Amino acid sequence: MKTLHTNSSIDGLARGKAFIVRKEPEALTVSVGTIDNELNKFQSALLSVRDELGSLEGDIFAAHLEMLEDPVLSEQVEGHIRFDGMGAVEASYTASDELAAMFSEIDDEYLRSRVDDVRDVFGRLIASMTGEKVNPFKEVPDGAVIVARELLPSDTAAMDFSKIRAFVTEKGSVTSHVSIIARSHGIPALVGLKGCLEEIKDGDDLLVNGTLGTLVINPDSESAIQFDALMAIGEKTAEMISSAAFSRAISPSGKEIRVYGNAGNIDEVRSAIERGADGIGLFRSEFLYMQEGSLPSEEKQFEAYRDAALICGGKPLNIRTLDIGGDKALPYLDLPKEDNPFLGFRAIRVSLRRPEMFKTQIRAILRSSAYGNVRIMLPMISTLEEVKKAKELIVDCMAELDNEDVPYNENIEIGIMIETPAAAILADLLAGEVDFFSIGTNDLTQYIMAADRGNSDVASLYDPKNQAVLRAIGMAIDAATKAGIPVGICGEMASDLSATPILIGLGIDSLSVSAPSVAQIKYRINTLEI
Amino acid sequence: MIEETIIVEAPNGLHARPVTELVKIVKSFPGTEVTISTAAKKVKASSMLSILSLGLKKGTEIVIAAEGGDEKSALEAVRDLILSVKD
Repeated sequence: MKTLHTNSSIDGLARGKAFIVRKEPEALTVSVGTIDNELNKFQSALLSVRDELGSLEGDIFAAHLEMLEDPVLSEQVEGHIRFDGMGAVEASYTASDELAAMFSEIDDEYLRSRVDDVRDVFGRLIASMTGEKVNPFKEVPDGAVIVARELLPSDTAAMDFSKIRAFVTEKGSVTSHVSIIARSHGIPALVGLKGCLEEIKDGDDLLVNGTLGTLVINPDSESAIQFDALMAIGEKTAEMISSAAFSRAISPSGKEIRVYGNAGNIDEVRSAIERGADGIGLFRSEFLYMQEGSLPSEEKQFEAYRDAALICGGKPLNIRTLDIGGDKALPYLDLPKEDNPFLGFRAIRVSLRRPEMFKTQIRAILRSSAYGNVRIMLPMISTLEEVKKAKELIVDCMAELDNEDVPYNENIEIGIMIETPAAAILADLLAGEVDFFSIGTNDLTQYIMAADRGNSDVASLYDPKNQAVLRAIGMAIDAATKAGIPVGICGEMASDLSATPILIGLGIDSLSVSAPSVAQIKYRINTLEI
Repeated sequence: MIEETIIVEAPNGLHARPVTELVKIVKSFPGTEVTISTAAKKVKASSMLSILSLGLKKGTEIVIAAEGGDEKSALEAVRDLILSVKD
């Protein structure tokens, strides 16, 4: 029995068998035959992968086939076999790295990332020679706890989540892809758990406690019995919690706290409302901009916002204007590459520099406001001027719609995200200009603490409950309260049960969380004691 | 040998799918060698990996050169394909 601990975890308890997914070149130890043997091995791998790719439909596999047949690929691999004494597997790994290096100089992010296709083709070749599965995640056995160095979108795309009890990864943090996936599927996870790959063997019995951030490997019988009992209690509590979904959340002092949902598309809006959310506190509009290779039309945006407003049926719907740039690229916008994307050209900064693009979105949001309680939320505000400029553009759009005789809500509420230290410090001035605040704790924490939330070496600094962050949140809440406008939290902190009493104590009016957390947060608020 | 200079207009640059088509076209002229060069590098147009490694984004100036039996038709076919990429 061995216990490991991490500070980054997604709540929940699970027990299951370890299913280790390695993507490291451990196969280098494969025995090496004569040069002719290794050349033959490589040739037959080429043939079998050619058949494999030929049987798959889709442009991307046609492209992979063409790469496979590229003489540059085979010359590179065969050269290493002939002249460098490498086996076919090692030669393929080496060639893969060398060809990948050719891509590293490309100054266009989208084209540079085609390197993933090259690696995918080599991955198939190597798998064919070593007998490894190409996508091990398709073979996940029922009741598995996935153990890996990290999990990427391409890994999770093929997963059957109904079979997975928990995730354990060596790298990452609570905002990594794996954490987002875990939270949205209600699966516990331990991330950034250093040394887990060394300690865990395939099939080990694992007790995953996402609430405490602990992992027990091969527990003794007493620990296992206690854990099973804890899980049984957890299930009973879960029933009590889900019954709280549609109740009102009242704080110990008698104030109603609105529990909103976060949504990134129409389905998530529906899911949050169906799970009892009092509205949508954060409707991310980026999905509309990622569906095709060009800017979405006003009409297309309007239809999406209107549908979301209708689903909300009178409950508030905070539509956040485009939050793109920095690390979130849109190839067709042709934004410059930056050395420091999180301190760069993103969100409202892009929108104000491209007023036509911004106005298209504002017009669509305004038009949807005729169909529900739609509100405009501006991201990444750091100066008063940005708010004033955005409001001027909104007023321009209103005048246009008046001229065209198109209906909209003239009293639409305009709010801002408080997610830069500047906005927190200026909160008293900003509060005079807007109708509500929403504190984005993910970015606010990383900017206040100057710590990248995805870097496991500084993840311990990235703590939304650090006193400095709490003071910034307190400043924003006090300014909002004085100005008489509501203030909410949207960000991972809103669904952190240990933060709930702190945030309520600071005077928060609403918490915006992912759909599965709505009931739990309401239950938590209703059972708080003074 | 003949050559022509063009500017890549494709909004997302020459990515995997158009390059796949390009290589197929080049291979359909077996007696002709086609190359593509940028200010930095010159590669054989019959190699998918080499072309992709050029990172031909929108606005890049390239020289297409062809030499051999069908050089005129090969050059035109490659040029037309590159200029027709719309995604």
